[in-house]
Amino acid sequence: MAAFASGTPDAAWVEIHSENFFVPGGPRLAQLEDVRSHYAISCHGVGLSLGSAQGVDVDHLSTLRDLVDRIEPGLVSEHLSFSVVDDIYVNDLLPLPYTEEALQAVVRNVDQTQEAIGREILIENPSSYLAFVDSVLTEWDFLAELSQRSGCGLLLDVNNIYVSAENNGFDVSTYLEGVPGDAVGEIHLAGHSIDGSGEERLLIDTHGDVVAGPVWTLYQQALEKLGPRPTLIEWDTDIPELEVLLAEAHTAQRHLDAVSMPEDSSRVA
Amino acid sequence: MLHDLQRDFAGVALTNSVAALLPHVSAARGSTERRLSVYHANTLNSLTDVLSAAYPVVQRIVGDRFFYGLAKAFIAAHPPRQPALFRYGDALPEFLTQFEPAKTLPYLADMARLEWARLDAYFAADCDPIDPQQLANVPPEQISNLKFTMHPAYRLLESNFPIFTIWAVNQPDLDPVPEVDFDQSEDGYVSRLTHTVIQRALPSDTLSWLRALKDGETLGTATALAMACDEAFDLQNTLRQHLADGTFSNFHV
Repeated sequence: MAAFASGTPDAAWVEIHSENFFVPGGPRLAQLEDVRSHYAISCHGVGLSLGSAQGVDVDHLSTLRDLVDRIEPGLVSEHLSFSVVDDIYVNDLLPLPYTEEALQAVVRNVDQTQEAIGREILIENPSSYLAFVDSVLTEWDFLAELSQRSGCGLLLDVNNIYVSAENNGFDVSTYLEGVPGDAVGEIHLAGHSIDGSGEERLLIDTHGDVVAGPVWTLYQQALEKLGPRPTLIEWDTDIPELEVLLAEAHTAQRHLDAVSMPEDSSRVA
Repeated sequence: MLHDLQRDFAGVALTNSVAALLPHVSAARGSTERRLSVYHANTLNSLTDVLSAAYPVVQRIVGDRFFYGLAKAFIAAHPPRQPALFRYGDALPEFLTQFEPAKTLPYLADMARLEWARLDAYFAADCDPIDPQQLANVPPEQISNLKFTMHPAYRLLESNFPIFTIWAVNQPDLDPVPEVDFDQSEDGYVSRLTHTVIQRALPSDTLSWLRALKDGETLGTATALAMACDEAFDLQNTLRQHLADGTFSNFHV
């Protein structure tokens, strides 16, 4: 983050985890102000728990509103997942059953969030390792319904689509076809790891490696369907030298340039 | 229904208790339990990382393996209550006083208190310290009636062990490592000067002086208490030092 505070790296925008900046004061917030003076910011939340049956925490929501007012981010996003139950916070993005009950809970929570911060948010598709027996909707239909009922946009994580498809046995092209393209406001790319083999082969979303070949292919497919979209490389464990990260960003920019008209301004961060 | 399912899933993530959730989930192939264990591993690893970042000296003292075991026990007993993790781990010092395997290291809980105070100071609200010039303008007859507001990052610590020295000798690349006299006790404070966390051990007279000021006593009363501790208490130098350290954010008569 120090490099970005000085404004040196060539990036159009920077994405932060909103909750890391929920602190009262100190150097971390000061550094964010410096980054903000050089780049546009995207606030990507991991703690709002939009899938919680018990609803979203109003204090959390008001802290988010303060951060949004202070930073004036270009984009605000969260996840299709839950992490709070009985006031215990599980520090992971846990999956939801794709049922009408869950859909109504997420729509209610997204409505409340958008009202509280006064703007549309993007919802990101999760990476998942299993399915719920009670699910009646596919993930892409669930997201399409959520977007339609709440007016939220979507953050398409292409690596998550690939990881979930490999783990749960669905076709990535069907997923892409099912997503409402106009709602997609941002794309994420990241690395995953492969654990086990044969029956026990499992892809794990680690954000700790370069973007895999098949994920680049799927990204290309997504851009052909959607047109250019702001794209972010996520890398938050085993973070490499900045050059490695920027090289990944340049690869994504080449893909974007290939589908962009000259007046398009979608950029990689 | 959704709420029950989410409670069961949280049990998987925090303690790998899979029995209640198993009938509700399925794997496309292979073992469902193994897939559930990914969520548990993610949760445990990320929370352990948060504790490692908050308590580097505790981890250095006990070693990685012990620390991971401590983290696992702590997470099961004290799962996070707030969906922002910069305050996660505040209960670890108290937990350590009851943690049987750490009983042979009686100073460990105090070391954790010092490290938590440092983290708390790091994230405390921003506030300008007193400008010493302003204080110089106070009429001399009012000086002893002054009361001070402490900076939001300011924390006093008292310990029966030499925790500031133990902390210092556990910083990486220290050469040579000084001897530690474990029979010494140390009190002191942690604060933040602009963006840098600072800490100092204090003699008992200065500790009494600061504790009194923190409790809202006047400068006169605080100074009398300090001199009762040690009649050689040097008000002028002590005040100068604490103004330079940004200990006070405001004063009034």
